[in-house]
Amino acid sequence: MRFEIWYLRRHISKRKWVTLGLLMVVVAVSMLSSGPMSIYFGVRGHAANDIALFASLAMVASPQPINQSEVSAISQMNGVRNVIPAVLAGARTSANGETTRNSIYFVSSSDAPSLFSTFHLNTTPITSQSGWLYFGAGVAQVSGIPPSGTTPVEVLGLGNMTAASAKAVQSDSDWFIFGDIQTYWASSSGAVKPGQYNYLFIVTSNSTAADELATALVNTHFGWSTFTSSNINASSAAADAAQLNLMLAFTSISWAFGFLVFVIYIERELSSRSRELVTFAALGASRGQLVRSMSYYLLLLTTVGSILGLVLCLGVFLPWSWVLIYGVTFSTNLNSPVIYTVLTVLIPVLAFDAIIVAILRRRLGKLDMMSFLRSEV
Amino acid sequence: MSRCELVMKGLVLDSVSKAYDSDQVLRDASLNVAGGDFLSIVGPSGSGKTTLLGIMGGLEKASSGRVEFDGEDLTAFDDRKLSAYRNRRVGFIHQMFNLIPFLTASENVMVPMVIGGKPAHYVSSRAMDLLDFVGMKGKAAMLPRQLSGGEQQRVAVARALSNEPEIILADEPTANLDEKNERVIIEYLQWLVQSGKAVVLATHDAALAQRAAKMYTIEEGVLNEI
Repeated sequence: MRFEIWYLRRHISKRKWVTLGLLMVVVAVSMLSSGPMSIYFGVRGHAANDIALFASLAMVASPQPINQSEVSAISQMNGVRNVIPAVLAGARTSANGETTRNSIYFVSSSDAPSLFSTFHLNTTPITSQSGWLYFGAGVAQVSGIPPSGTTPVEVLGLGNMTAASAKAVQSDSDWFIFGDIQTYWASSSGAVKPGQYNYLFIVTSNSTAADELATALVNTHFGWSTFTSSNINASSAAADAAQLNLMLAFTSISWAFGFLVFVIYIERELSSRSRELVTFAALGASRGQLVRSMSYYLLLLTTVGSILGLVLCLGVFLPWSWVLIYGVTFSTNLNSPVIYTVLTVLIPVLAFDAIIVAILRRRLGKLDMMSFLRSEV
Repeated sequence: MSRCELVMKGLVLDSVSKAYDSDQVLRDASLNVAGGDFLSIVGPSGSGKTTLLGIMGGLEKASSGRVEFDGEDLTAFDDRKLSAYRNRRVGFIHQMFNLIPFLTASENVMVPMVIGGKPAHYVSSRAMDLLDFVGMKGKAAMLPRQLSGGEQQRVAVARALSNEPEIILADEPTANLDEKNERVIIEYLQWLVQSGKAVVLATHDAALAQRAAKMYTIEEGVLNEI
C-alpha cells in the first residue's frame, strides 16, 4: 500500500471543504485564463482567414441596411421567424452607438462560389439564380427549432450547425444577399439570444461593383468605419497586439491570484500540520514520501480543477459549436483555439506545480523531527 | 572468529555528543541496547535524555561519536535509510501520544505499516490485532479526541509495535496518565521486554525508572550507569 495514496484519500475525506474551495479556485483560474485566450486565438484565426478569404472585399462595420419588406418576407420562414427580431435588435443597438459588431461583406459573384463553399453551402442556387435575394440564418446550439422547410432553396446548410434555414426572395437589384446570423441561437422556449457576430454578405456582379457599393454606403452613412484590403492587415495586426496584451495581462493576473491562494494555503498547512508531518517522519516517512504526499494532493487539485475549468469554459461558456463555427466557417484550423486554450492552462499548471513542489521540498527539508519528542506536558 | 560474530547486535552508542550551536546537551554518552534489555534513563527536564532518545531513534544526528545498529553506522545513513530504520527498527511511545488527530485509532496504528509499504489486507488485519492486544478493538473507529489519555497511549503503544521493531523508545510514556493507566503501560513494556524487544524508558520519575533492569542517570548531558 502506498503511503502517499493512502494519505491522500484520508486527507481529502477529512478536508472536504478546503479541497472543494481550492478546487473552485483552480476552476475559476482555468476559466479566466482559457476563456480570453480561446476568444483571442479564435478571433485571430478568424481575422486571418478574413484577410485571406475576403482580400478583395471592403468591410464596413455598421448597422445593417435591412429593409422592412425584406424582413417581412424572410420572417415567414420556419425557424428564422424568431431570429429576425434579434437582427433588428442588433442593428438598433449598433445604431445607438453601443458595441455590437454587425459586419457587411461585399463579394463579387465570381468569388461567391468559393466563398460560400467555405460555408459548406450549396452554391448552385446562388450562382444560378441571379437577381434573387438570399437570406439565411444559421442557428447554433438550437433546441426546439424545427429544421428548415421544403422549398429547394431552403436546403442551404451551414456545415455543422445544428439547424439552418435560408430563403430566396426576388430582388430588384442585381445582388445576392446572404445574411449569416451565425451566433444567434434560440432556447427551447423559442427565445432568441443574440451573440456577438452578425454578418451580412452582399454578392455583387463584379468586384468593381462591390467597391462602388461600399463607397456609396460609406458616403451615405457618414461615420462608418471602412476597412479596405490594403489597410485591413495593419489594423488587424494592431488590434491583435493590443488584444493579445490585454488577454495575457488578464491571464497573468488570474494565475497570480491562483498561485497566491495556493502559496498561502501551503504555508498555512505546513505551519498548522508541522506536528502531523513530524509524526509521519518520526514513524519512518522519508522526506520524499512527505513531499509526494503533499504534492499529490495539490497536483490532483490542479489537474482536476484545470480540466473542469477547461470543460466549463469550452463546453458551457464558450460552446463547442462556437469553436466549430470558427473552424468550419472560416476555414480556421479547427483545433487552434482549443489547443491554445489548453496550452494556456496546462503550461501554467505545470510551471505552477513545479514551483509548489519546490516550495514543499524546501520547507519539508527544514522539518525539525526532534519536535516529535520535545513537546512537554 | 568470523566477521559476523564481531558485529555487535542491537544499538550501540559510543562517545556520542550533541551540541546545538554553543549549547552542549550531550557529552560522550555510551551505551548498548540489545533485544530483551530494559533500560531506563532518568534525569530532570533539560538534562539531555530526549536528545539521547532522538539520536537513538534516528531523529537527530550526533555531533560526534558513533551510533551503530547491528553493526551499521547510523550517522552515515542517508534520509531514505534512516527513515527505513525509524520505520522498521524503532518504535516510539511519547508522553503526548502524538496520534494524528484526523485519523481513527486503527488508522493511526496503520501509519507505520503503510509508510513501510505493507499490503493493505495485512495492514488492516494487523492493526485490529494490535488494538485487540491493547484492549482498544472496540474503539478502533474513534478519533483521538474521542479517547481518554490512557486509551490514546494504548493506541500509541499499538502503533509503536505495528512493524515489530527491535527497540521501543518510550519518552515519559506515563507522564499524562493516571495510576491505573500507568500500570497498564508499564505492564505492556515489561511484556515487550519478555518477548525479546529492547525497551529504553526515559523519565524524570526515579520510581518508575527503577522498574527497568538497567538504570542510567543523565545530568547536564552526562550519562552514567547506576
